Amino acid sequence: MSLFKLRHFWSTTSEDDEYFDQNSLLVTKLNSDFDYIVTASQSGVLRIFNPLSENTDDGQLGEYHPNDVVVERIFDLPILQIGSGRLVSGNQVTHLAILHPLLLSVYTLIIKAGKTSHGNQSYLELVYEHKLRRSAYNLVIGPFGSSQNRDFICVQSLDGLLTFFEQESQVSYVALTDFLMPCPISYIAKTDSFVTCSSDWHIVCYKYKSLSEASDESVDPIYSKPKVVPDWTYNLGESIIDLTVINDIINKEAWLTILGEKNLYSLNHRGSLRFMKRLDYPPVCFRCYILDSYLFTLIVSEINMLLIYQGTTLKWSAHLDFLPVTIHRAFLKPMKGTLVLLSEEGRLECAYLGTEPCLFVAPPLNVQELDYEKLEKELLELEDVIRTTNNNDVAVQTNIEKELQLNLTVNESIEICVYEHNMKNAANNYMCCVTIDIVPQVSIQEAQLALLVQRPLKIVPNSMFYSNLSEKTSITCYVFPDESTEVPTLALEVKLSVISSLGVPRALSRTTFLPMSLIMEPSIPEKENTHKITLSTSEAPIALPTLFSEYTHEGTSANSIAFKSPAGKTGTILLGKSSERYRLQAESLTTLSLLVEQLVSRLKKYYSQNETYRVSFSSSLPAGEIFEYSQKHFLVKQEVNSLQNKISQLSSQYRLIQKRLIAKYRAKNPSSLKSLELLLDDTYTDILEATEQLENEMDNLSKAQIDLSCVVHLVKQLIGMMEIGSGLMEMINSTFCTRVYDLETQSWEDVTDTSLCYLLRTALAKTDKDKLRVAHTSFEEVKDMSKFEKHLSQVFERIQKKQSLKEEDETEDDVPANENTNPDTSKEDFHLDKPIGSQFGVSSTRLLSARKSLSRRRHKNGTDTDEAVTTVAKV
Amino acid sequence: MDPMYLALSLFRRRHYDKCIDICTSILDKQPLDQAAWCLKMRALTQRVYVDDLESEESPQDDVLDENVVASAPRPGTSLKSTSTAVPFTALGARPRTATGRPISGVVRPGTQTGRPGSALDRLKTSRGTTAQSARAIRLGTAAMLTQKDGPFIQVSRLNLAKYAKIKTLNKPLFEYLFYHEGDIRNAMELAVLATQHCEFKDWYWKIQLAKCYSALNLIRDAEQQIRSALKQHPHIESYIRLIRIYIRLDQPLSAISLCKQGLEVFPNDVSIMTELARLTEALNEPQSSVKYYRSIVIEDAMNTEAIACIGMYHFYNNQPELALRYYRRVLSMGAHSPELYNNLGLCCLYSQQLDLTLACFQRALDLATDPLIKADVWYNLSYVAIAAGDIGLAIQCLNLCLVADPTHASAFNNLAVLHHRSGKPHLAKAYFTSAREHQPELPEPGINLEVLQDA
Repeated sequence: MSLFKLRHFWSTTSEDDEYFDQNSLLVTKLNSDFDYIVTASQSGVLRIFNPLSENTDDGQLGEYHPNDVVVERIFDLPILQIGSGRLVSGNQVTHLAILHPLLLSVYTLIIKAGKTSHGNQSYLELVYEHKLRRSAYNLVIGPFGSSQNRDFICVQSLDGLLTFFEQESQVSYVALTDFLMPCPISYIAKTDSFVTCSSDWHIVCYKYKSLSEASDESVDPIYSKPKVVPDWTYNLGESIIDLTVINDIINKEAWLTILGEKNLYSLNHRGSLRFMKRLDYPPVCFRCYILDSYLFTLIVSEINMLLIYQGTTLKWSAHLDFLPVTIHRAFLKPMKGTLVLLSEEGRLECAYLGTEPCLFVAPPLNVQELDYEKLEKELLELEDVIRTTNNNDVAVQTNIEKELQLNLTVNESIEICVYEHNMKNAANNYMCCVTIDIVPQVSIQEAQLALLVQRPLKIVPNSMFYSNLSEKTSITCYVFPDESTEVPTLALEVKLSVISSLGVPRALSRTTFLPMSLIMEPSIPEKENTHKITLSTSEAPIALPTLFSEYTHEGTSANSIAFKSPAGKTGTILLGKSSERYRLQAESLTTLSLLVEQLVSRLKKYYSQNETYRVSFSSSLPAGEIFEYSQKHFLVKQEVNSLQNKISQLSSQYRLIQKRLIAKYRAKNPSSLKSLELLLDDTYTDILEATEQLENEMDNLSKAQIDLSCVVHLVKQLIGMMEIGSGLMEMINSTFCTRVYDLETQSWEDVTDTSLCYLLRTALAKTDKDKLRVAHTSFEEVKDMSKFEKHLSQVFERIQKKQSLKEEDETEDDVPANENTNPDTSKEDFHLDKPIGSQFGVSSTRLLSARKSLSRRRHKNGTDTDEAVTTVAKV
Repeated sequence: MDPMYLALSLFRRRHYDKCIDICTSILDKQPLDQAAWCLKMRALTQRVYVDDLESEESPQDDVLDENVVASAPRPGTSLKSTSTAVPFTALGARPRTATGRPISGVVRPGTQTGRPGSALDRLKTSRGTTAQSARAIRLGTAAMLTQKDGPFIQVSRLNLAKYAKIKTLNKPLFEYLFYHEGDIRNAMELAVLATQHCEFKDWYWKIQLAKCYSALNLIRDAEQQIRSALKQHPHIESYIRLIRIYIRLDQPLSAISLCKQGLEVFPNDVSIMTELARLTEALNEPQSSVKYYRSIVIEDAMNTEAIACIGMYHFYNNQPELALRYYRRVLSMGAHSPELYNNLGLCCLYSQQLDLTLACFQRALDLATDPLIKADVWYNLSYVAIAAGDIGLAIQCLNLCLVADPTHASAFNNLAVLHHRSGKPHLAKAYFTSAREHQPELPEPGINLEVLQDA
């Protein structure tokens, strides 16, 4: 991002397949008044340019002209670097040094002035060359040893050998210590020393004197390894990209500038830091110069930016059209301080910093003219978006049944189970087949089918996902018992949620019963048993063999039939001889749940034509037993919780020991780890032990959950037969959740207790005063089961009282009975418009207002209630 | 040409893949060529290198964090506590993020992770989170993918004690282990051995050790190492690392004093000043923050963060015209983002340049692809609608905002206010409640609910 752009005025490109690097560009005066630009590619092409040699008349900066090329020469060897200096003895003329991989040659540029307007004739002439013993990396030229008017060459090889050439004669070798990879090297004239970056990322400076003293011609320096003592070192801590030395002639100072991979450093000639700057971009190359005794640095970043710093302050930044590998400053005839950039493919450009900002212009918006029709359409679209997300439109949601049919078929025949299950004795190894048909009338984008049965039953597969559903699809599932425990219900729930092609989500659900023979086996009827339930019917009783036709065989008594549950417990259904009663009795209450469910559903099916047919239950609810089962469940759950706490404690302890171990490992004076190891092992064994216990307890918990859910299901059915008004029944249904889930932070008791409290405060409130108290809105963990028991028994009592009240009313007067319940239900309805669960979410503020309106309503309804009381009083 | 020279040249020109190929062929011929091995290692490292100072992700609160100094810090000494004293201006309070910090002008490293509701779920496990972030893991796998015949270095078979003693190899090897392999444990072992070998004289190893420690969440050890490194050798990066560590320890005041110390050594350094400015901003001292940002701009006039933050300061200081100038400067530098156009639109709106307002927002909407940003643009457009007096349009804008981001608490609040004004108090109450649920720190919904309650 930049306001400005680099303006180039002269550019040329090289041939294809030529590559350039950092050292391939040289800007030098070469014995003239102005700078020449020398490029040398790694393919061995050397070019010397003199840009803008011919000034155009109108003072405009000219373009590239073929005459600007002074010399182009192709060498057989790749050129690694070019340098210039006074390299020929007894001659003050600047020569060019060309570094090939194994050869160093020095050339002189000869320019013969042309006689005609064809221009000058220039060519390079070889002065001398040195064969190199090792593959070269780079060279540095300078007046080593403070020699006057002479320049020497130092070549660094790839393996760290410095070779010094004093003009035509080869002087000495020296190998650098701690060397791995060659780095840029530079010469500080002021102290007559060399600086480079060593492979352990230090900047090292060697005196020329100590280098030449350490050198030894007789032995190969790579093996002799003379110890060269550096003058100073500076620990940089990162690898470098380039380093240069700039001599400030006015202040007689040397600036050593280093471009690291992340920072820019400037050191003085003694190796102490002048300044550093963190670069927040990856740099590519740089160049320094001194202007008015300030150090200026040009840095090219990887994102094609040129940044110019004075010290650490950013002075200018400009955008580049391409990424150069190296940058130089040149003094050309028409322009001082031109920037010369060379890309790796050989694009050479001379450029200047333009002060005219190149402002970023955003692409123009194309909505100039307002098209009202189009805008209206857009508005409608946007409104549509709002509507569909808010789901305000109720009308589209009703006709799901028309668009989609969901058929369930339960195959009555029982097959042998082929699936894996957890049953120990595979006596009852049955499964039954369920077929589900989905018949969509319109195409449906996505559909998900979920099949639910209650534990211990299991259904495979239990969910399906379809996308782009448009044809009739059917799916076959198998249901089988997973564990040998009691079964709370044989109901199979199928839920289908779809997203129609318009993107509207819908849901559909169906319930059916699985065949009883999947679970129950016939048994011998018993006369007496511990748990009994009596149900009365409004019509004449039907013989049991008619109802349970699949269990009927010869010799079956018409008045009694018995079943054996997977848990091995038996239950018997007896038909009252004289009255219209069925008696169900079983060893355990858990077995009865299924029997009641089956009996009632079969009776209802039988009498499906008769709308007034009713099955009712009037004796007291088995509150004690429910409490027993929930107590059992609660205890197991508590055990599980305590085990879980123990494990989490142990594992955090384990972690602490691990941490401590790490700390000990790092300690400067190592101490014995034996004791910690012992602790670690011990904790590990404890964790394993606790996990095993937890597994056992989880098994117990699952059994307790199933038992509890059996009992709750039974109670729910019994309450359902007590006929206490549909509103209240709905509330009770949502209170007693038959699916017993224990979440980590919330167990069944917590939820049920809160629901019970809510019931006691609202629908089952004894007095109106109770109703005015704010109902529970938060879940509390049940710690004391006696409170739970109290709530439970209160709820049962009040339910029963309600029933008896109604029954009395019914016996007294059939007609007003319906009216009688009105005041109650109207009040209930106010609460009952939502299931209980969702009401807890409503904040207390809402409740407050509800209370206010309730009290208002109470005043209005006051007379009605009084009437109700009087009718009762008459009795 | 010597293949080694070519490899070095390719490395310098950032053609890392070609460089790796050449190094591989050298190593095929001479498996013990240390230079080629080292170069290949560095090329592999550079290829996946991410500046860990810029991309640092601060780990969320650790359950077993034993570094916490005070659970209830005094006001002004912690970055975590949400300050209750929100400075009010005529343009309303400066908005805050869902974690209660003032929203800053730019997106910075480590600020994107704090979306609400992400840290809570991990609390139950007993294993605390280590800072071995997803990035480190990703680097490791990315490197494996491109490697055809197995990993370049079998880290498990590496004799770290041997390599730690080779001065020329240990640093590249460390960076390879740390950045390329993401193997912090082995990298740390190497660093420990190396620092012992050089008799604790190389500050480089102390910083690297600190990097490992802070990645392993041993922050106090990291602090010690950096302190000792700084004693040996002042370096900007060391200062910044130490500052970050104090921020992680939630000791902003120590961090600030360290910044000032660092600025004495490196006067006018942009990186340290940026840290200082961010810190003061987080501590609710916008004036001093802007002071530092101004000095940053003097030193580095291209610093977008500083310009954007100064612009934002002016905006919330009732000077939208000045803010507009700063944002236009950022725009002319070439930033072309929906956020910027959004800010420009708001500045135009409040500085009464209404003709430009809608054009800016139109561009912001055209450019916005991220639903969160789209939500913000629609939210701001609702202000334009309110300024024009078009309540219906404002409601539509807010609805569209909620379509894009259903947890936008401020939008819920404003929607509630508008509905209340148009005579739907119940709907308003529901919206206020959901606004409060989505962002309990926001003061407006609570106050409004109280007002509704009293009425």
